[in-house]
Amino acid sequence: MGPEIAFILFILSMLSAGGVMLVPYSRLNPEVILTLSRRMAYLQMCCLTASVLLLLWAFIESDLTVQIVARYSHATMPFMYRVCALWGGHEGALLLWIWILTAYACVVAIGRHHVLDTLRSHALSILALIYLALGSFLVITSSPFARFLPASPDSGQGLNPLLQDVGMVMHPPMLYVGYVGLSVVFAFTVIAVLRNQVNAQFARAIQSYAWFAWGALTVGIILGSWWAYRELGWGGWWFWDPVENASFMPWLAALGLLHMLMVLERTSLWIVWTVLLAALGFVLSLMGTFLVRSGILVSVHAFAEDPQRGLVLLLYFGASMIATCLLLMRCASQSTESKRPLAVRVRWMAAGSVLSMVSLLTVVIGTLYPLIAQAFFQEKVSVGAPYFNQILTPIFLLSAVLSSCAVQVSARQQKLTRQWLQSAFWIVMLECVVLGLIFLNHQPITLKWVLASTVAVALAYSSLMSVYQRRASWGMGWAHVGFAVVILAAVSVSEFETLSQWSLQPGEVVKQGDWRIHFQSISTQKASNYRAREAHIDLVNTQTGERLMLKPQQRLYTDSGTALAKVAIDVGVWRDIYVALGQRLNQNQWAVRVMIKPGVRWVWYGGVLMVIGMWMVYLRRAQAREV
Amino acid sequence: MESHRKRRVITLIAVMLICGLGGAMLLMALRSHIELYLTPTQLLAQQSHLNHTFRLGGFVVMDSVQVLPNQNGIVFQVSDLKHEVKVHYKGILPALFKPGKGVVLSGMWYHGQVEASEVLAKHDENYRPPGLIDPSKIKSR
Repeated sequence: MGPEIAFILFILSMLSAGGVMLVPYSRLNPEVILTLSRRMAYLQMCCLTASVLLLLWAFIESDLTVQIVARYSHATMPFMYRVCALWGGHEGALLLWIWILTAYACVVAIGRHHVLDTLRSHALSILALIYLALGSFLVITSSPFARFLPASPDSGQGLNPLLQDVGMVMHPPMLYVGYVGLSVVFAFTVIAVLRNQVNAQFARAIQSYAWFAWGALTVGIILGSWWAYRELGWGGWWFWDPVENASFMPWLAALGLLHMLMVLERTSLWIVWTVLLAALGFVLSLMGTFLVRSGILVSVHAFAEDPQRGLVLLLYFGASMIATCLLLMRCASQSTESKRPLAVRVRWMAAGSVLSMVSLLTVVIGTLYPLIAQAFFQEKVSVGAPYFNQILTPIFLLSAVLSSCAVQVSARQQKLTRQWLQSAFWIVMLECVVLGLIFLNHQPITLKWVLASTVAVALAYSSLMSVYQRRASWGMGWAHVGFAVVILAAVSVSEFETLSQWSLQPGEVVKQGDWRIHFQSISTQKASNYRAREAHIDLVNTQTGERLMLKPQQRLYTDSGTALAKVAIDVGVWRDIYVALGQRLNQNQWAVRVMIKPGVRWVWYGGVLMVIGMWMVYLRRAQAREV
Repeated sequence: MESHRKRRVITLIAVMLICGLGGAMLLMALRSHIELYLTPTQLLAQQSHLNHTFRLGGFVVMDSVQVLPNQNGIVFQVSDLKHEVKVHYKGILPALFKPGKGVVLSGMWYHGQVEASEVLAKHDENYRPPGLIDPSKIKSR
């Protein structure tokens, strides 16, 4: 009975969402309306939560009469993966999406803020509209509640082995928390534009939602990158795969939005631009869902191809684009001119948001070009990573330079030459120290690395200095230092990493750089849901005498018959050693790939630093509001 | 007022120029980095003017995978059930690479065979290269 009750609860939640959507347009007095919206939002949340829990129970019990359980789960899988198999497929993932949406609606309903309260019931109404659109799409095209009756399969198909990882537990929910958070910001912005209330107070009030969404999106992206690094066996942390871009595009829009909200808070200027970024954040998160879920682009994720699903999502995407354009036109007719001279830092921040928009456009074009080429030129193409690297590297470096200038400027300061010269001096000195250290360690230095490290040092130095001189908060300081760290780490990996591929017999010894690689033996392993061949590879550093034993595997998952290469990684603070076992070449020979990746960890540590910075800003704002 | 309007016009023109220039550069970078996706039939039809990287999709022909001696990689045939192309690859094959299954690889045309630089396995076990039908389905018909 589980799924049937879940379905009825789902329909109930849709009905209460309908109530939330319509109630603001009734003729009741506003306070009654707000109370009603709030209560119905809670009801919607309760019903959907109960519905999701019932489905989850079916997964835990491995109830194979339920279609999505049979398709994505298997009784032999560990408990954790049986739970997160719920969002392993298209249906469950969308269910998770809208569950997070109702959770946000609840948060919006609970919240009390004198600026937002007048907008609240209408914002809830927009969220309910989004909920209804996606919810009806879910039950009509791909219901998660469907059963195999009367005959159900004997065993489930199991979750794709690539997805059986701790990343699967955390990455999709986190990413969706970010995506959906942007739709909350969007809902408030729409109402504020319609009411002509996009102003400094509004920017201040909405910022905490934007910060939170951006932070969650950042965490989601970091987790995804770390997961791909460990699981895909390719050794890269970012592939410019369409699906990765799908999460990166809303992130860029949200980044620009955050900066513009801070500008708006201080100047009441550039309203159209801010609204555009808020709308783009939402539209791109919808497009992200569309790209990932329609399988229209060949990608890492490669979900089932179902044009119909894609078409409906595309329709929603188009509708929200049109709504955005109307919104912007209305907004443009209201915008005002400022008479005060602008504070310097505000200009820098606006310039920064323009740069994030440019990088956003680059990614959008690169991601969508294959679709355009197929539609207009009838040719199938894919855009390779070099395109993105070539264009985005200079843009990111430029934006780092820009923000290192921006953070040094205090709100009203005009004369800067002396200060800039001073900090330029210190930056050059620091950079010389860094280069000296690298040189002493016998590392080769490339021009690109020198450039990137100078920029990173400049950004880190000026952010920390401005915190020290009390021109900026700690949160902002750490967020920018995090950006500097990511830049430095990304360039270090791409410049200094070494890769070699061998075909080895047990007992064979080869050399790569300072490392002596000894392929000792190969053995067979068994676990509850897979069999594996495991290589024992002994690595010795001839310089330092450091000794490692790595055991990469080739796994065969018995429930689905899928093969998977499980890489072995020696995690170090300054370098990772990454060993993958490849195919059996003949009776006694195996392909082995060894990669030494300096600094790769810091790509993620830098991202974490950004999130810590964001969290500090968020807490400070929350405190300020309570006082 | 007059000078104000003039300044606005100038700003607008500058912005448009910068955008146009940036856009043109973007498109140029894009054109030079796209990889055409080809099936073996299309590849054989236009091999003469293939002097840059492309992607090839097809099925790995059964029993065609050979390991070359002295660390020289492997060769295999890729087919779209009409034509076959020989592929040479030095490196690790993804775990999902199997004779009889679909494969997508990127590489260059060199001396009558494809020199693969990367064999992609970014897909699950049900994957088939775009534009091709599944050979197992043909057999069952």
